[in-house]
Amino acid sequence: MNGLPRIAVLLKQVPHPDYFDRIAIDPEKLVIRREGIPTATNPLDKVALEVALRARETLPRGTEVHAFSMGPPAARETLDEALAMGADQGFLLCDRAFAGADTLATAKALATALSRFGHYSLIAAGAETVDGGTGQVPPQVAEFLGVAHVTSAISLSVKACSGGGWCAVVDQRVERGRLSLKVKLPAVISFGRGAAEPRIPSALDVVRGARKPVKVLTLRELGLLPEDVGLAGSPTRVIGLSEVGRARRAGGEVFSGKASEAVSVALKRLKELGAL
Amino acid sequence: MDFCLSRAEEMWQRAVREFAEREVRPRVRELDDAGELPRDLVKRMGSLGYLGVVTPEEYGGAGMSHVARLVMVEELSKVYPPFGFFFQAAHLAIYAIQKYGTEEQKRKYLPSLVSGDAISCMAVTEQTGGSDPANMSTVATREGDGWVINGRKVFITLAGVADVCAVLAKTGERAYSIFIVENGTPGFSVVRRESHMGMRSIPVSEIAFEDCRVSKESLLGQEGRGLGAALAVIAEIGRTGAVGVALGISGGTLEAAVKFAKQRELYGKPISELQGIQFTLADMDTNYHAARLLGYLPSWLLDQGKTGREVSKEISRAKAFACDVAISNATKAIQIHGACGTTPEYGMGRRLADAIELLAAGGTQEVMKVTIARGLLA
Repeated sequence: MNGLPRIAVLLKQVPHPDYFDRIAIDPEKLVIRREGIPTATNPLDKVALEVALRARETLPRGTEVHAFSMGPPAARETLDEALAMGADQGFLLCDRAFAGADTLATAKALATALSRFGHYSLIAAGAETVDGGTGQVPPQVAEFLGVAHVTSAISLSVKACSGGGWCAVVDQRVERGRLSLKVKLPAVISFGRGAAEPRIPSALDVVRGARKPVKVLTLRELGLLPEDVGLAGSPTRVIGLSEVGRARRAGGEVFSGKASEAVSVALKRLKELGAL
Repeated sequence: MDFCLSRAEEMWQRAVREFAEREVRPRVRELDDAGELPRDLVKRMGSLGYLGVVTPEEYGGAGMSHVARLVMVEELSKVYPPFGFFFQAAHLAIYAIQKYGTEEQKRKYLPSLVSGDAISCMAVTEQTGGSDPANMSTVATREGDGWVINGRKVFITLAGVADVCAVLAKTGERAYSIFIVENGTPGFSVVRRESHMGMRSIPVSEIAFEDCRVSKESLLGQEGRGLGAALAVIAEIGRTGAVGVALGISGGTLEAAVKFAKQRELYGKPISELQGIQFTLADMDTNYHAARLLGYLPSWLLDQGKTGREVSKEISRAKAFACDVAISNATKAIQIHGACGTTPEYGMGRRLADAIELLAAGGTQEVMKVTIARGLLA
């Protein structure tokens, strides 16, 4: 007899992609200046949440989906969005000590929270964020928890394993097709573009979501030391940051003649330039 | 003082914004060009609870606040004002039924009206104008066990597509009553669809009642008390809805103007760097936020338990000011867009036409000022 599976989803609040033109770099602190830029939930994290919510519909009644996020107090908005979409409970890792964390320190804090507040069968996340874009946190969380991980999945079904416990069957998009994998849970699975279209909450979803709790977890509640997390716990040091110029260069080359010939010449030239 | 939205209202704002951006914005040009009510989107908005936002949960609604409704109308109108206008009208009869209806009427009509399976309208205005009900010519007379309605109503938003119409008729000397008339009832007809410069996808029609017989169960609210009930619904839903649409147009045209000013280059730099443009944007922003402060107050007061009658001055101030700002901001946005301002691709001209439609919706600007002055001089 299997116990109920429990699902956690990791979500990050990021600068709103529509306002990326307002993002600037602080030349002294070597960090991105985000002040005054509207925020949004990382789009792929919402995809992961949608996949998790759909999986819950196929699982026994009572299966819960919990949303986790780490960030400033305003990151609660991301958890509220998750609760409106259908998550059952939210956990916000919020403490000044967490500030400046690299992916490793972020993963350590998240993994600690996940192991302390629930034995999760499945931990879902977006394959990458639109701001950092490293895609490192989900595998790092899996390593800290000592469980399997699958990255950039595009589908999920959770089933009871023949030998007991729960298994996930996931598809991954690979260069020339799809790779189907069966993973014994617990595992961390990150989801890529196209895995699901996140739902838009209805009025009633919002009303019910607003009644659900968000628990704030501080450093103390996680039982971690200041040197384990945030900037202090981050081995990564940014030593330089520069903007990539996007200005078009004047000139260019025009290849005329038959289209097929012109394309061949253009391809050859691109190879010469090292662009291909 | 607390100027913050509640947690649920903030969550709601994000949800409506996401719907508007994902499912409405890509279709704005198509909707403007078609000039017809898109039933698929109405059904979709019904499934998302937009039609029942202030309707109690037991009748299929979400039971949210008046502020939440205003948030919804504003967010939709930032992207596509005719949808805000749709809710300004579609909520009238829904609200009238939930506020004054019998339990049987609520169970019969509300579930399908809030799901979007059926649409309703409210018919008050006649050729004599919407603000002079004393000279109303539509009459309902008792006959047998029911009523017979005769008369005409004009400028009825959503008539022609509505399945249910809440109509105000004279039932005696200085006595008015509201009746629920279902589409298809013999003697009830749509005379013609009227042509208006703005809100093109929202049908507005003239309707006629010729010996239209309805049962006694069609009476909505108390006999003879219909005028007060209709005016309360117009104030609490109609005028506050117009405020939301006006705020949406003001905010939406401001956003479009900022975006365009940052992209359009002149003299080798974006026109947003020209002080003349900056002053215009600053004026638009200031007026928009002033209108929001005036505009959200009456809905908040309604949520505190005040009646439309008690906050009529606040509603009138908000409507008069917000509509002026909507027209002003849409006009300024056109100016900032230059020659692009009146093209359908940028849609600013259409938003100005939408804003002008609001001048008479739920009462003219002059009627709003009369109400404000009456309060001052009482």
